[in-house]
Amino acid sequence: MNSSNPPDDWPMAALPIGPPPAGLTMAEVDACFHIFNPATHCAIALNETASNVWRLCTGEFTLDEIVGSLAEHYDVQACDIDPQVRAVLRDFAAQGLLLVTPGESLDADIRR
Amino acid sequence: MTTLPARRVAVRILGSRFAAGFTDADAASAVERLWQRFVDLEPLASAHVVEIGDGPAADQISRFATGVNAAALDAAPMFAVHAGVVARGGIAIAMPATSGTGKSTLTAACLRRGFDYVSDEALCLHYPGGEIEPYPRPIALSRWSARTATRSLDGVDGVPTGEEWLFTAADLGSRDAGGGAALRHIVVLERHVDDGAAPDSGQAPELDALPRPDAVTTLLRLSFNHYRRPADAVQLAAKVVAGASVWRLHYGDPHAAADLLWTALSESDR
Repeated sequence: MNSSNPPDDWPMAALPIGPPPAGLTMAEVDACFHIFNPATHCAIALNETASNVWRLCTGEFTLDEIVGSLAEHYDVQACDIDPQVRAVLRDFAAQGLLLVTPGESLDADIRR
Repeated sequence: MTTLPARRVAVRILGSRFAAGFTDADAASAVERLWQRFVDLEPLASAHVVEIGDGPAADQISRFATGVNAAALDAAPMFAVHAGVVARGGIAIAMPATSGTGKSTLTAACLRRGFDYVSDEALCLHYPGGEIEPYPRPIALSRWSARTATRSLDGVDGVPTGEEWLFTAADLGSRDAGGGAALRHIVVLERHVDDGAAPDSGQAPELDALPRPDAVTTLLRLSFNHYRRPADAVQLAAKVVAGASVWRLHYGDPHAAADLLWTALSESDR
C-alpha cells in the first residue's frame, strides 16, 4: 500500500482518480466521511468539502471532471478551486486512501 | 509475614470476572456494598485475580476499584468511551471527557437533579447496533467534588478511599438506569474554572448545538478500546452519532449545568 507522498506531478488532469483501494471502512454522518484505513491503521475524518471530493474519487472521473463538478456545485470558477482539489487529492494519496501506481504521472499523460 | 485474606469478593463487570481477597473484612463489606450490582455468585474458576495486598481498608478498596476498572474496560467486548452517562425516561445522555474535566462531578450533580445513573466512567456500546451496556461502577469523587456535587455531605453515605470517596447512585439519591436506555444526546464538556472560586460563582451554563461529525472523532479519540476493532469502532461511532444530537456544554457550576440538561434536553425530546 502506497501511503507516502505522491509524485510532484500527481494528479494529472486527464487521468481518472481512484477508485479507492479495497478494505477501507467508510461511515458517513451529515455528509462527512470517516474513513478507517487498515493498511495505515488510521481513522481519518473529512470535512464536508473534502467529502465531496472523496465522493467523486470512484475511478470514473478525471481531475478536470472532478474540479468541474465541484466548481458547478459551489458556483465558482474551476481555476479557482483546482489547486485546493489537487491538494486534497494529494492528501488522500498520502494517507493511502488513493493509490498512485508507478508511471501514473507525466508519462501516462503524454501517452494520451 | 503475609496476612491471609479474610474475605473473598467476586464480581462480573462488562463480561469479565474478577476475584480479590481482602485482609480487612470492612473493606470487603464496603466493596460488596458498592459493587453490589456486579457481585458474581457463580464459580470463580475463570476469574482474573486482583492483587489487593495488605494495608488500611481505604487502600484496599482503592486498589480494587482501580484494578477492576482498568482491566474490565480494556477487556470489554464492546466499544467503550471515556464518558459520564445519565438517563431519563429511557433517553441516555453521554458526556464524553477525559479524566480531570469534571465529568464525575457533573454526573453526580445530574443524579442529585433526578437523572438515573448509567456510568461516571464509560459509555459502553454493543457492536454492531450500539445498544448501551450500563456500567454503574461506584461514583468516584474527590472530597471537593463530593461536597460540590452533593452541596453537603451530611446524610450522604460514601466510602473514603484515600484521595477519593466512592458512592452508589442510591447514596446520591438516585438509582441505576438499568438496560435499554437509548443514546439520544452527546454532550461535549467545556468547564470553566475560576481559580479556586466557589463553583457556583461563575456565569450561567450554556448549551450549544455542535456539528455531529465532530462527535465521531471525539468518541474515537476518547475510546478505551477502539484499537481492538478499529473498523467496527468507526462504523459504530458514526452510527450512534447519526442517531443523536450533539451539544457543547460550557459550564462552571455542575448543579446549574445539571438543571440546564434536565430542562433543555428533556424539552428537545418532547
